[in-house]
Amino acid sequence: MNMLESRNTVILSYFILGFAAFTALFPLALMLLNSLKTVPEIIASPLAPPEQLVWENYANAWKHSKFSRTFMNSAVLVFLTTALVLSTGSLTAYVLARKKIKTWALVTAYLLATTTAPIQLFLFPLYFGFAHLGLINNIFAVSVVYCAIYSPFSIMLLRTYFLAVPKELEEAALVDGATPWQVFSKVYLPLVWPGMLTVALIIGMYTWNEFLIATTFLQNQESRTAIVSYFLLSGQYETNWGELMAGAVLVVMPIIILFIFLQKKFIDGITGGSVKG
Amino acid sequence: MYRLFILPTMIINIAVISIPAILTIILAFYRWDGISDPVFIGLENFERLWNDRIFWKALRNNLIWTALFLTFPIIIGLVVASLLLTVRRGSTFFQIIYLFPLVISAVISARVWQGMIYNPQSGIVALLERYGLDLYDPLSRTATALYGVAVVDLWHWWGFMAVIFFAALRQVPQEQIEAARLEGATYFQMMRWVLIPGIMPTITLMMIMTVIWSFLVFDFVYVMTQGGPASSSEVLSTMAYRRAFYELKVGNAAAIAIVISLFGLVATFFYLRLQRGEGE
Amino acid sequence: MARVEIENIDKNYGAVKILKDISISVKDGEFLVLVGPSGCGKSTLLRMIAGLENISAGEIYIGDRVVNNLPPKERDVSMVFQNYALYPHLTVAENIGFSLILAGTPKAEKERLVHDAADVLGLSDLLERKPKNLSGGQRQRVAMGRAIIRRPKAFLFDEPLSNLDAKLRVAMRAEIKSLHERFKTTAIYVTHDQVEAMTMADRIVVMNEGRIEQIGHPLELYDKPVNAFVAGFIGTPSMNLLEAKVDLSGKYPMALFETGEKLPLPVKANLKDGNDIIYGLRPEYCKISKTGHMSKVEAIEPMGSETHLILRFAAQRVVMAIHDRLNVSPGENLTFEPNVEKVVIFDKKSGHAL
Ligand SMILES: Nc1ncnc2c1ncn2[C@@H]1O[C@H](COP(=O)(O)OP(=O)(O)OP(=O)(O)O)[C@@H](O)[C@H]1O
Ligand SMILES: [Mg+2]
Repeated sequence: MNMLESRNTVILSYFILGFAAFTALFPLALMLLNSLKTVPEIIASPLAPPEQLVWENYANAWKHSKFSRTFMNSAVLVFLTTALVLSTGSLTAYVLARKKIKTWALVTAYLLATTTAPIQLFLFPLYFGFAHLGLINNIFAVSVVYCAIYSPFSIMLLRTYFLAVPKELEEAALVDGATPWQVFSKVYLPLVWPGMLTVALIIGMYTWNEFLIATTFLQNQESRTAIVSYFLLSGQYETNWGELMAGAVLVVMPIIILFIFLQKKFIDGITGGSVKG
Repeated sequence: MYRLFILPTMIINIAVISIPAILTIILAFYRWDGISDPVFIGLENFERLWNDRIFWKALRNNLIWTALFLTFPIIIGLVVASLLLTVRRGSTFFQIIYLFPLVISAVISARVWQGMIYNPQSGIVALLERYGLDLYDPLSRTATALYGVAVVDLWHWWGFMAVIFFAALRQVPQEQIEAARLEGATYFQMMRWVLIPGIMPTITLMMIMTVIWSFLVFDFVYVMTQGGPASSSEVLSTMAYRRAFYELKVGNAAAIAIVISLFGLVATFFYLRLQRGEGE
Repeated sequence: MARVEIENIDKNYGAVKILKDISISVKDGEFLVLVGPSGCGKSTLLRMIAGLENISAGEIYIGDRVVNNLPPKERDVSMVFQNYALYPHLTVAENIGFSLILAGTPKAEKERLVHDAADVLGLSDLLERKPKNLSGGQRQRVAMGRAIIRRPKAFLFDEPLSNLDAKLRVAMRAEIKSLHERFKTTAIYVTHDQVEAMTMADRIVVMNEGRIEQIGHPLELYDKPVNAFVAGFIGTPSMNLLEAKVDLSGKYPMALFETGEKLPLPVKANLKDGNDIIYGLRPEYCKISKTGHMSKVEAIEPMGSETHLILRFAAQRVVMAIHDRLNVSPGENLTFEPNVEKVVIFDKKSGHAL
């Protein structure tokens, strides 16, 4: 909107917004800057530019965190979780959005309630149950846990996309003799895929970043995620902060790149369902 | 037919969340180390908690956490969102920057702050100390450890509030804002009379969610201080985790989980009422 | 109260010119109506006066002050919006007294003024209600109340009646007009409904595509439109605009149609034989006459008080409004006669009246 604001108001606003942006970026700038410095340089001053770029920090972080293995684990976990959430969640979102079952209100309330359940409420029996069944260190099992945790949120978000599809499209298809499955797959899915993509991004980000479940259920070197592996590296007694920052940059990079390229979808996903119009 | 559609979601949800949740409730009345057979002990786990100094400390820390997160991120979020609404130009750019901390894993954020800011050798704290300021690593002292962690989580979190509130503010009818401008409203009057009332449902929802989330906080505390030093930054979730997996007192941990859930339940009750009030 | 002077105003959105060289001088106490088709820039002009849009070029005076760089609150104007812009969380009294709340007016004073305004608008019994419990007309009145309570230098209205049903619109029209009679505050009123414009305005500004086509008293625009656009825009049913050529070969000047038919032209000095013109004939300046010109009836639209006949004449459509009830059916032939003195002629190329 083009509102005539007094010059001073606008300048002051930009000043405050700029300060806020500085606050948000400052620690990240330090991370990037110091990822290219030696430890003595960092100790001399974390703000000084590097004398020469220490790329070995990245190589060492990669090696010590076993990122070649753990990045792969994280990627597989992200893929499995996203696929599970989208396939099961879109079906449920459709049923709830179009009130296809009598108990839709009850199911919705149940799902909303589980979004607020603390992980600790189900973590302990789940862990010992998984241990009993030999599912510890099993990436697929963990993706099922993530699916359970992230589904309610995803369903609520997807529901709004299903609601945006005109009901007439479905009715026309039903009149032409389509089965419920055909209506869902042929009429709705092609129209709600932008919503699916948004959900995929958010769930992918959550899964990549998740710590509590990952550190509990994926314990051995072969199944660890990048985040957990980074956590273990950084918990070691002797700390090379340059290498640690390089590792941090590596772990953060995939998310940041996706975020920058698909920011609008991220913002949609993050705000979706939280704003009451 | 349509019941089949929701079956996968429900099976996974019930198997992973509901059944273990019920088991947790049952376990709260048993003594169990995770290996041998559980022993029924009635309310003993809860009695133990009642007399547990650390439990009260953790509960208090959760309440402090709730108070911090009910004020700072919400106020900062509202101010920043209203300024974004004022300038308009560049609002997308600023939103992206404000969301950076949110999309970065808690583990990473925690380590960056620990190493680059709080660290007494390599951090900004060390640098400022050299310039004569009387600073120290807040995580190393019992009086400040919790706040040291909270600052990082606040840094991570406020952008989310700003973006949510900005999205809500954009839905306040433009004419209402223009009418107030014509009537001569100042910034604070605009906030007080038009903008805040206009997004009250969103603010209420965010406050309720903040209460719920404040009792779930785990990652930042666990990664940065493990609840220390001397349990000074312990919260209920880290305490429960430690009891279950370090001390193998699963029954005790289950009792703590139930306490956490009770706070969540009260907030959820309000949340559901709000959802219903929305008239869907 | 104050005059409002608009001098050579332009508005650009990037490269797009929305308003081009607009100049209007609104007298103190005048009720000026801006009318024009959708998208012609009426709202934009009004919002520039209010200070809600930047001015790209030119100057706006309110009173004797240039207000170009004043924020809205220092311009001392109030505005009634199309959707009323009432605050859903405030009561009627608080909505009406909103500017007083902001100004920190003492409670007693505020209540007195709110009651006065509510009296004038017949809202006294509704003061404690919330806007969602009001009818459309009542909401409209609350919006008016908020505007009048401050006694601003000028009222700005942006299509304030377009959300009301037809009957209420007529009633509110009269009410706004009588409020204006009472307060004598300069008012600038935007509408795309030319009936509203005709009935309410002291003067009308007809706008089209970001330009002013004509400014004048309602009947002046009706009788002497300066161009074919104004002629077609003002009046319902709108003026017939028929394409023809000037024919000066006979005793009287005539309009010659492509199909060979002829209609009489008023005697004017600047008619040139063979020129392309537009023959402007208002539907009510037509009558049925045995000796008239032959046409075919295409449709009949009885309105009750009058009847509209849609005729085909010289392969063009002619609408005719008569007060008698006529027993004709579509397809029949009918002869009609234009009132030559009332015919308006426009140059076809420029659209200007000759
Ligand atoms: N922010 C903007 N950016 C670009 N063009 C705009 C903007 N706002 C309005 N316009 C254009 O300016 C023109 C005039 O708009 P305006 O709202 O003044 O029309 P109007 O005469 O009030 O029409 P209506 O009767 O539909 O309200 C329109 O063509 C519109 O598309
Ligand atoms: Mg308009």
